[in-house]
Amino acid sequence: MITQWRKILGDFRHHRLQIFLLGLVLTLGTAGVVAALNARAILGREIAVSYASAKSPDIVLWFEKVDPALLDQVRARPGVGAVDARRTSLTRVAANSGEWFTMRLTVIPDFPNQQVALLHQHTAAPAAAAGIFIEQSGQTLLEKKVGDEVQVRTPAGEVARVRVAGFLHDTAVAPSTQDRAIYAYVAPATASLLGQNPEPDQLLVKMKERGDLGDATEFSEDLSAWLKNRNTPPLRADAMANTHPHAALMSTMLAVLEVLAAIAFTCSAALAAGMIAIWMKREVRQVGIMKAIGARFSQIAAQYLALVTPLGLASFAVALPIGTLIGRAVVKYYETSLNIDVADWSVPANLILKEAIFALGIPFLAMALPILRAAKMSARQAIQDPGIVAPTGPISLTAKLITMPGNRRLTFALRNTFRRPWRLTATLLALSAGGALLLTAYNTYESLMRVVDVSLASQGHDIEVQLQRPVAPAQLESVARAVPDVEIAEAFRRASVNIVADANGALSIAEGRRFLLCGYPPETRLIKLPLQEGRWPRADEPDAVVVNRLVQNATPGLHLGSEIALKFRERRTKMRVVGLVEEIGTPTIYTAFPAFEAVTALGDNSQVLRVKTSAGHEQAVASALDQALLDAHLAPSLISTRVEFRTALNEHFAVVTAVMKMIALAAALVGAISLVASVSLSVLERAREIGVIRALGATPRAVLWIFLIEGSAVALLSAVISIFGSIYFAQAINNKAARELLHVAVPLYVSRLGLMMLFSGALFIIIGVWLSVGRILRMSVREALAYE
Amino acid sequence: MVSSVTSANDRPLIQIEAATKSFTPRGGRTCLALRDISLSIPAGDFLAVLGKSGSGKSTLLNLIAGLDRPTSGSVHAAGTDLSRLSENKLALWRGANLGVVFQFFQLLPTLTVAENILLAMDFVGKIPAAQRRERADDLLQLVGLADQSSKLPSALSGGQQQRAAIARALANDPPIVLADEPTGNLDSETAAAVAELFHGLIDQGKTLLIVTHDENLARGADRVIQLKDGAIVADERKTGARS
Repeated sequence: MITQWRKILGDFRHHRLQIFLLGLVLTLGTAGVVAALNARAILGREIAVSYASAKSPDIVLWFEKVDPALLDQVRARPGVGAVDARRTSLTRVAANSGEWFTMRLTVIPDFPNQQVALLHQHTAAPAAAAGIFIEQSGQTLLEKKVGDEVQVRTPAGEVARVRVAGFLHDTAVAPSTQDRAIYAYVAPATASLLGQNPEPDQLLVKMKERGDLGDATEFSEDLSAWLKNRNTPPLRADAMANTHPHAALMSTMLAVLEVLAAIAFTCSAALAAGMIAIWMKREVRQVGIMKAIGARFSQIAAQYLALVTPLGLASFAVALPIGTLIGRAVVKYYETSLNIDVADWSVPANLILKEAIFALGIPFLAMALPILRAAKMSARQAIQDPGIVAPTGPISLTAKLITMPGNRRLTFALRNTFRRPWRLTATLLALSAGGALLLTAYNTYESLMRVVDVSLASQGHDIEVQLQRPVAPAQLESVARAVPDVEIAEAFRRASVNIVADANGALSIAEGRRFLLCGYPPETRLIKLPLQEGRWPRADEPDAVVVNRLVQNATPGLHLGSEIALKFRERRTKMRVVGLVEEIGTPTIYTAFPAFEAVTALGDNSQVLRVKTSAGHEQAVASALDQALLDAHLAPSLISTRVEFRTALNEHFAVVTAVMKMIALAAALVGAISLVASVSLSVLERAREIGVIRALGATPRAVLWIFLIEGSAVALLSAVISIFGSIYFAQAINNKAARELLHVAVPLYVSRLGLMMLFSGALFIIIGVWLSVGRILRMSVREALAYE
Repeated sequence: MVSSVTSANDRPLIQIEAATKSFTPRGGRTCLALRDISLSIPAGDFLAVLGKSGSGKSTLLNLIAGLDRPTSGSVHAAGTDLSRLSENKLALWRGANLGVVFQFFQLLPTLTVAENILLAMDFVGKIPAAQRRERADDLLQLVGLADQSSKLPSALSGGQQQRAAIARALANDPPIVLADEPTGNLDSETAAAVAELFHGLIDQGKTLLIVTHDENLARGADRVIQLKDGAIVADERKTGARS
């Protein structure tokens, strides 16, 4: 026993470089698995907990004004768990850079005693201090600290100044960096200073028990009816979906983390198996000798397993804390990018056990196979001078299939590529997994941004302005047209409507779901959305509408020709769907002004301005337009340019693609390290063969070319597999994004940058081959022939 | 040192002068594999090199084949001072002037028998491309493997593989053929057949050097040199050795 351990330790010393590389590969792969699974577990739990901690309302009721008596009445209503009163308005705030951002300002009458839509305070500033509180994710955009003064537009178009009292965390909103908007919260006194109405006009209701959206909708209707009976009918009642606004994005990100774990794991196991296979090939003679002196299969197998088992355990022991740290870093990144609160950083104990089983068990099995195979060889087979390493695959098949006319060197090199099929499989698996991951990240990102660009290109306008109050359209348009580089300016109208159940029951109505009704001037030049089906309403059609796919997806059964009823406040108006369009944005129903007026009876004033600018002047026009409207006392609450919209979407996608790219690079690194190690061992294994070829008259350059062709063949094969794999994965992610995020088809785009990175990885492989072969070529032919 | 014996009218095809070869294994002591060897071999000679294991036989062969370089001294073969050649030029010289036959055949397993021969021609380029296939077929005919040309080495017996290796060694029509224990892995009957092939090469005018323990093979040589501890201790030219 003692002698056997001496052999094991001697082998360890002799092969310390290979063992170190193997350990490195296992550690990195395991760390990747641990990081991905831990991050998935923590985020999966904490996203839900964080959102739940916000106690988002189930129902929002809108009134002209909410007085304390009304609040108390609703609070006392059976089934109501909690109620808070608020007022929300849109205005604009100036960042430190001078850029103006849209700001959603919420007036909170009773800061210390919030019960619904809770805001968490992480900074030391006392609640309800004088000043404005900013949602923490907006700090990056505003570049302001506590105590700094900010400029805020008043409804009259003037600029009010107020100090930042602190930063709060609203876990129910998306990060400001993604929405490109600031969320701010003030007490009524501060609201007055900002020229805003301090009186609440909303009741945020939390139900005692709630099931799905249908339950909330039903309760909302009951509550509205009860209030109507008490002569305090709400202007509007919204049943809320009770999901984070970016729930779909988060679920996509979590799915990506799972895929990453699987790929990291595959890489690790395949690489470990490949390296052990090469190592055992070189140990075969020793196995034969040991068998010749009496060792049995079990003793030999145990000896080598005893070498790799502690290695696997040590790798896991090192990888676990590293993976945990990396996982925490990933969670930290998402804590900011998703704007959630992570209160509990622990990982379930059974997950660590699962990670241990997978990260130890499967690579161990993969490594055990070549060990057991070598240990099973007969003594004669093992001792016999192998000369040139014999192929293990169906060489006669490859000999038949691979014959390059006239050039035996190319034939020789290509057949060599396939002479050890299992090792080739392991290598291809590892390389392809990393390559597919890298390319998928880039393909997905570029596919998504392409569809965004196509959608934006089909918009007729470059800038959209929303005003705090509706104004006469002629006045609005004349102010805009006076701004240089404005080519077209048109006043639009908007309102929030429901689609209510039709008499036939043909539609599956999402009760309580609200849609944007967009009214456009009949002769508009700014609606260029391509019709997927049907047509645009005629000027003489007061009952025709066009809907986008988001509306259709939210209303199963809705199709071209559907008869629907639109509900605006107490008005119900029948409409017919005459067209369908696709766009990225919000669920929108389009109709000309006459039909809009038929639905809303809001009159001729407009609250929205759409502008087309000269090419390249978008940002300058937006700033000039802002000032022009202020000068005309038409204070905008929101100015959105096409570029900002694109940036906002880019930030959304980055949530998913950023981590994919990080891990893709890590996978590429692991793949590259292990490939170089595998190639080095493989070349050493064929040292004698290289000697023979040189003895036949091959120059060192000829030998190098043979191995470069082999390496290039492997690189090319893995690149092809990576490309096909990435197409599959990217398509799957694109489909999920299309279904849950963008609601438009996302065609696959194969990224040129991704391909370039993939092929430069292939170049790295070729360089690795070159360096490895160079080492053997520095030996004399005699040394190469005698190499073992 | 035993002086070399040459035929009076032959210019030596191979000339070794005061060649020494030492090795220093990692962590070990320097050992002299060859000590001050001088040897002249005329064209057309059949030379057998005998000696116990570790006597320097294979080292001597490696120096002549340009597979290794002497620590001191010089090696001239086929009109070339091997010490002056770069690795590239040495490889090309070797392919054109030497055929090497190994004990364990060393055929490339992923190529057919014919392709093994053709590859050797491809490396050197001495035989015009249009003639290579025909030459390969002729060589296989010579060694009695014409019907095995499209087989892979794994499908051949040991004797057949060695004959294929001999055909490969002749691919570029080299004037010198070196064989290191060519029958060491063969049974006696097959060894005799291979020996017969070697005699045929001499009849074609090749110069043949064989390192061997096979007495039958050595008996057929024109000249036998014996090495011991890196030095030539005997050098005997036989008359009428080939029959």
